[in-house]
This record gives sequence, structure tokens and C-alpha cells, in this order.
Amino acid sequence: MTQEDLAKQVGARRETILAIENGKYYPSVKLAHDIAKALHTTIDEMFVFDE
Amino acid sequence: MDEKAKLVLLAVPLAILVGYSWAFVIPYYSEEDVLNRAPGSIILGSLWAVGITIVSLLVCARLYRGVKRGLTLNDERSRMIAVRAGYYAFLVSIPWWTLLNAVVISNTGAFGLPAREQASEALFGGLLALPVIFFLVWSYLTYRYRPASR
Repeated sequence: MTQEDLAKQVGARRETILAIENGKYYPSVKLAHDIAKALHTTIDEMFVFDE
Repeated sequence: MDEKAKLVLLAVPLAILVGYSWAFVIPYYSEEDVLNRAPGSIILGSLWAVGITIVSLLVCARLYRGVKRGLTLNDERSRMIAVRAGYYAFLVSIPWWTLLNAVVISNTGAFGLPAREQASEALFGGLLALPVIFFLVWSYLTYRYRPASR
């Protein structure tokens, strides 16, 4: 799946997906949930939060 | 709101800005010997009009291509950046308006400027600078933005 496909699926801009990938933007819980759902995974598996 | 309607809402003020910029420059060309009398005004005005036209066309074309492919025009990140850009642009514009007020509106012949009130020119310069300040701040935040928690 391309960044553009994912952006279309979750209703975000491609730049936002790119920023999330590069760690420049932390998405809202809603967007994180939508991305996880689109990628058939969970938020926990997708994002690693520093303690 | 429909994405195409959003694009129109963005394109209309840009078109007004472009049209206003050209309307400011074109009358200069109809005057004789204008390049000798007001070279700075006509060169800067023309550069501004050409620049804002090119930038506007590029922005609209890029956004239109995205909308055509089914992408959204704005999302949570772009909305947040726009809100922050507005806030910072307001702060940045305060010294600009102060400078205009000090130098242009109430000048007394300082800096070689004619000693008369130029309120309309100052207002025009101030208003024209606002979208530029917003665009510069927005560009900076778009490409350099990081969450406040970092």
C-alpha cells in the first residue's frame, strides 16, 4: 500500500502520513486508530512510545 | 464540505490577490517615462505580481491534482498548522504595522520620504504583506513542524 492509498483510506493528506512515518507528527487517537485499522494492525504495534 | 468547494474557497481569495496585484502595477505602464520616475515601484510591483501569480497557480494546480486523485485538502495536521500559522503571523505582523505607522503614515521627511501622510499606501502595503507573512510562517511550520512535546 502506498502513502497515497493510505491517506485516501483514512481521509488524511499524504504529507501527514509522511510526517507520521518520519516521527515529525503524532496523530490523534482517531487518526492512529484509522491508520491501524487500514493496515490491519493495532495502535500498540504501530507506534512505539518512549517512556 | 465538498473538497472542490474548499478548493474554490481557497482559489477565490488568491485570484483576488493576484488581480489586485496586477491592478496596482498595470496603471504604471500606461504612464510615460515611468521607468525613470518610479523605477523601484514598477520593478518591485511587477516582481510581486509575477511572483504571486506563479505561486498561486502552482498551489492551486497542486491542490487540484490531489483533489482529482481523491485526496483531502485539509486534515487534522494541516488544520493545526493553519491555526498556529495564523497565531504566529499575527505576532509577526505587529512589528510590520508598527514600522509602517512610524515610517510611512506619520513620517516627517525621515529616510528621504516625502513629508506627507500616506495612509492609503500604508494600508495597501500592510494588507498586501499579511498574506505574505502568513504564507512564510505557514511554509516554515509545514516543513519544520514538530510536536510541542518533543
